[in-house]
Amino acid sequence: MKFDAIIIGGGHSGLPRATELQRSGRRCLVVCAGESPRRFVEPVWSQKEARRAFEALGGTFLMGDSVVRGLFTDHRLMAVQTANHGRTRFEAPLFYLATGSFFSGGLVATHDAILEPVFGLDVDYVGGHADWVSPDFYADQPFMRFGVRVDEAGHPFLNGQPIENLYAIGSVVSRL
Amino acid sequence: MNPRGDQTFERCMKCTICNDYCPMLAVNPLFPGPKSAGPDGERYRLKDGRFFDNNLKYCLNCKRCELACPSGVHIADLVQLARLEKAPTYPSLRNAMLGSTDLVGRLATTFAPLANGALKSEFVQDALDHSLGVDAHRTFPDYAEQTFVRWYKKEAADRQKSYPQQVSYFHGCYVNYNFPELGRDLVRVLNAVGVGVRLLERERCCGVALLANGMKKSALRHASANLKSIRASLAEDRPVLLTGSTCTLTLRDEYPNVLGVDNSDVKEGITLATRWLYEAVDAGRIKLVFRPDFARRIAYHAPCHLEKLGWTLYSTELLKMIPGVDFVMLDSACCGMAGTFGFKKEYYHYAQEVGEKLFKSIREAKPDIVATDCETCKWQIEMSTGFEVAHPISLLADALDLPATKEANEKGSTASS
Repeated sequence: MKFDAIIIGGGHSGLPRATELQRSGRRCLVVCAGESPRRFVEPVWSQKEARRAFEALGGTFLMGDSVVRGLFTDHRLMAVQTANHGRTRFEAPLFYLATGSFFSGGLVATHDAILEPVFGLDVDYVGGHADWVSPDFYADQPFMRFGVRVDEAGHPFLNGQPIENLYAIGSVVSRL
Repeated sequence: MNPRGDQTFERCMKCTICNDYCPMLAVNPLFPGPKSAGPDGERYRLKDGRFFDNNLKYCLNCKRCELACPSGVHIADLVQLARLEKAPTYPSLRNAMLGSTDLVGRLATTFAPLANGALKSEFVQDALDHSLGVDAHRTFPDYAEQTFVRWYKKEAADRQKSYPQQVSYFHGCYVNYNFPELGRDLVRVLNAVGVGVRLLERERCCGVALLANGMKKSALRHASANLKSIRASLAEDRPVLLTGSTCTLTLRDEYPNVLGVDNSDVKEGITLATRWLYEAVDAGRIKLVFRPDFARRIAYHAPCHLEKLGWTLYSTELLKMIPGVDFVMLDSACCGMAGTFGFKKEYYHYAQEVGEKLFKSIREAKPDIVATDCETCKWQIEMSTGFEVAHPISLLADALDLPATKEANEKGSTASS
């Protein structure tokens, strides 16, 4: 299935970007793993309204689905496959990664590394496990700055090479 | 795979987003809501089955909580399992009848004119209401005088093997006993694109109605019979196509998640007819030629279980391919019917209250016809709004120029061979 742009993540970064693109006449697909867990700070209905506005423009929103595989050729992302759609390929010339930080699963911490679980993109972080967290709860927590490394244009890196048709946006991006 | 086995409920972080998406909680304060009924309740039930809350009976199993959950908790599956294993009561005669869709269907189609007449008479409706608790307001779907399988064997079976490609059709109880027209439409469309339609060796009801009515053992028997036939079909390279979204979800997801039956070897081979058709068109394997005079305003309602599968876009994209269609996407909302739930006297008013949001949006959209992939949504919408409801496959069968489609696909296959 072909789209003009595919946005992975339907939260506060992905959905506005998708809506903007859809409004400019591009057919967009949003893959959203679940409702944004920031219910605590923002009522869930704003998210529902944002989705409705996107769909009213003709956008396609996959709720409760997640990208499990990216198909790359020569530093370009050609297509993605999702948990619900098996072998079906969702193709586009343009992709956005907007999966958020640790809370929404955009970044995953293991004992010895910080990972980006969708594509295995290069992640910027410093030191070992003990350096990631400050014991003072109210201090600036180092792990909050970790994220995928991007070049000046916003392209993330895979094995040291920028992916030229993929952009990382929102809190998945490194602030180191 | 099993929502208990992998302890996913421990990932619940108490955000209560599921409660916000629950259509039952919005109209019924007696229902504890997915958070309490699912992961919260599970902690207690694991300690002692006496913590089972009988108000879990109000869960529609629409799975909208699971779709919204940011932590991937199988909330509705937990509720289903608790009801099957911890509910203290045995199924009543009414629930056994509503659950045994193929047994009752076989009886009713044998005496179809009698059954249809009787189910429309006020006397029988009152009798069902008082004696069994089947709500008298509910209109019963008609039973067909000739089942789909009987029609197929008489009119269609012989020529199917002559097509270059074959699929198996899991018709389900509804197509077989209530609405063979849909099955006939699928055969017409697939035959026109050069695909032969076969039946499974043996098909039983998928078991969703049995599960909803507490009959797990029968559901298990059905599951193993169906999986045996599905394996045989896939072994001969025939994918299994369905027109019912709930049957599809049951075969693919409820078997492993609720019944604990492993289907991982065949899951990818079980698909919706609309998905199979869309992908074949998209890949250029088949061609569709539409009639120039087909013009309809179609409002599409996404059934809950199709939303859970995540496959709504195949049905809607297929409908959008029809040139004369003015397409309206209705806001995704539960119709309230939930299979056999809406038939039950004590739940009838909840079903109608849940569906009201959808009914209102249909009345506002003023379509010529409503499209949906689910049979029980169709009954509920037709009864509650008066609008006619059709399956996307039936609309496609109407909109296609079948002889021209046949010609285009014959030419295509000779050109490529």
